[in-house]
Amino acid sequence: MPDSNCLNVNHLTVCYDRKPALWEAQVSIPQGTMTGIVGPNGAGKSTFLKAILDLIPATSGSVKFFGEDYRKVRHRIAYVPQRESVDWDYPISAREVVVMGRYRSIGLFRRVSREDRRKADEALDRVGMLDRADSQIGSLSGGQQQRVFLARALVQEADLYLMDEPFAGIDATTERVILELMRDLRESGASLVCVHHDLPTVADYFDHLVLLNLRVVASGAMNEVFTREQLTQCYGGRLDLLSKLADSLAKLEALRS
Amino acid sequence: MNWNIIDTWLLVTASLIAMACVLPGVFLLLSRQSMVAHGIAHAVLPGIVIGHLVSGGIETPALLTGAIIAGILCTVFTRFLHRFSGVEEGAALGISFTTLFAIGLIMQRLLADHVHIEPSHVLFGNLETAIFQVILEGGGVPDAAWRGLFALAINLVFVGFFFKELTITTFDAAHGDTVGARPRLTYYLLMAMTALTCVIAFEAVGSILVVAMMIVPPAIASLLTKKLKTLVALSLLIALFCAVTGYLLSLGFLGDTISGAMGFPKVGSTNAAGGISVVCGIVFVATLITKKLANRNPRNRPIR
Repeated sequence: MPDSNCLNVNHLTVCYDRKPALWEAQVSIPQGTMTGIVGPNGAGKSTFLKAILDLIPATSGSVKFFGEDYRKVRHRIAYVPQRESVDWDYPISAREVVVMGRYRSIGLFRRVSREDRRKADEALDRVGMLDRADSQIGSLSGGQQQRVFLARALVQEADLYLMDEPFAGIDATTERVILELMRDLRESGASLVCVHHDLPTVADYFDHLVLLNLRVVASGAMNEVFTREQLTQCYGGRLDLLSKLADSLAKLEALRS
Repeated sequence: MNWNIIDTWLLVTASLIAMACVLPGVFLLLSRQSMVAHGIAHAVLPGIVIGHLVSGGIETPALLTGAIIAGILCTVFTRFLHRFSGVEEGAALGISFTTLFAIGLIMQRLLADHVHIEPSHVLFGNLETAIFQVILEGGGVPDAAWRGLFALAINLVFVGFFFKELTITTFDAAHGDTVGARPRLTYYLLMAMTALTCVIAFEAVGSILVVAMMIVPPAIASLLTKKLKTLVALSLLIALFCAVTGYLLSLGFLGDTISGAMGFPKVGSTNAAGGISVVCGIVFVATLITKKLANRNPRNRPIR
C-alpha cells in the first residue's frame, strides 16, 4: 500500500552519552510539501535529520519513508548536510563535488561517464553556477558553496530532499535561487524538509512546520502550528526577545530602504 | 665516496617505499587524520610479533596479516574510546596506539628466544643491514626491493580502483553514506592499506619516521595544487625526489664534505631514513616560503 506520507517518525529517541538529544519524536510529513523544522539552538534539529538517515544511532523508535524502511528507498532521498560540516579547502572543483551525487548510478569500479558530467553541469546551471564549474570549491563564497551542495542533491533526482540549514550564512541572490528551486521541486511533486533557523521567514518559505525542542512541540500545516502560543511553548521566554529583535531589525531595514 | 651495488639497491628500495607511503598519506592528510599514520605505524608491532611467532620466521604474509589486524584494531579502539569516554580524538589515538605498541614491546621481550626482532630496528629501520646481507649472500634483487615494489603496486591498484570512494569518504562521509558509497568500509580499507604500507616501510625507515614519509610529500604537494589527481601525482614525484636527494645526502655528499671541512673524521654514511625525512622537511619549508613570497606580489595572488 503506498503511503501518502513521505516521512513517518514514531517515538524516535536519540541520546549522546546518555543525555537525550531528541526525545520521543513523533512526526508525519505528507508528500509534496515544504516543511520547515525550527527550534532553539541545541533543540536536536540536525540530530533529527541525521538520526532518520541512520547516520547516528537511535536509541529507540521507528522511521518510515514512503511507508518503507530507509534501506529500501534510500535512492529516493537526497541529503544536504550543513555547509560547515566539510572542509572547503579540499582540492576538488565544483563539478567534481556535484558528480558525487551521481555515485549510486555510477557504481563501484566504474568511471564517471559523460552523461554523469552532463547531468552535473545541468544541475550547476539550475543553481546558476555553471560558469564556476571548474573552480576549486575553496574559492567560492558561502552562498555559492551552498548552491554547489544543492546541485549535488539535484543530480540524485530524489523524491524527498532533507536539508540542514540551507539558508544559513548566504547572500540574498543565493537565498532567492534556492527558494525558487525548492518551489520548483515541490511543483514537480517532490517533498522538502529543511532545518531552518530564521523565524521571521519561516511562514513565507514553508507550508508545513515542525517545532522542535528536544521533543516535538507541534507539527502540521503552517497555519495550525505557527501560532504565538505554540512558538512560546517551543522557545520559552526567549521568544519575546527574538520577536523584539526581529521587529527592531525590520524597522531598521524599512528605514534604510 | 664509493658507489657500489648496495647503494643502488638501497636507493631503489627507499624510492619505492617513499612512493608507496604517500598514497595512503594523501587521503589521511585530506581527512585531517595525519597522526593516524603515526599511530598505526606503532600499533602494528604486536601484530608483527604474533605473525613472526606463527610463521616461525619472517614470512611476509603472516607479518602483513598480523600487522593489518593490529592496525585496524588500533583505529577501532580509537573510535571506541572517543565515542564512549568522550576524550578527544587525538587523546584516544594516543591511548590506543601507545598501549598496542607497549604490548608489542613486552611480547618481543618475553618471546625473545623465538622472535628475532631488534627494538632499535623497529624504531629506526634496518634497510642497510637487510640489503647488505643479501648482497653478501650472493646478490640478486633483495627481498626488500620486491616488498617495496609490492607495496607501491598494491597501493596504486587500491587508489586506482577506489578513487571515487576515497574522495567521497574523505570529503563528506555523511553524504557519502546516503548515496551508498560505504564510507565506513572505505575508511577501514584505507586503514588496512596504511598498516600494510607501514610494515613494509618499517624495514626502511622504522616506526618513528613513517609519518614523515606518508604525510610530508602530500603536504608539500597540497601547497602547490588544488586538483586531487595532480596532488596524488605530485606527491609521488616529490617522494621520489626526497628519497633520492635524502639518500645521497645521508650517503655522504654532504656528510663527507661538511664533516671533512669542519675537520671531523669522514662519516661515510649515515641513516638513509633520517636523510630522507630531513629533506622532506626542508623541501616543505622551502616550498612554503617560496609560495608566501610569490603571494606577496599582488599580480600572482590567487583570484578569489
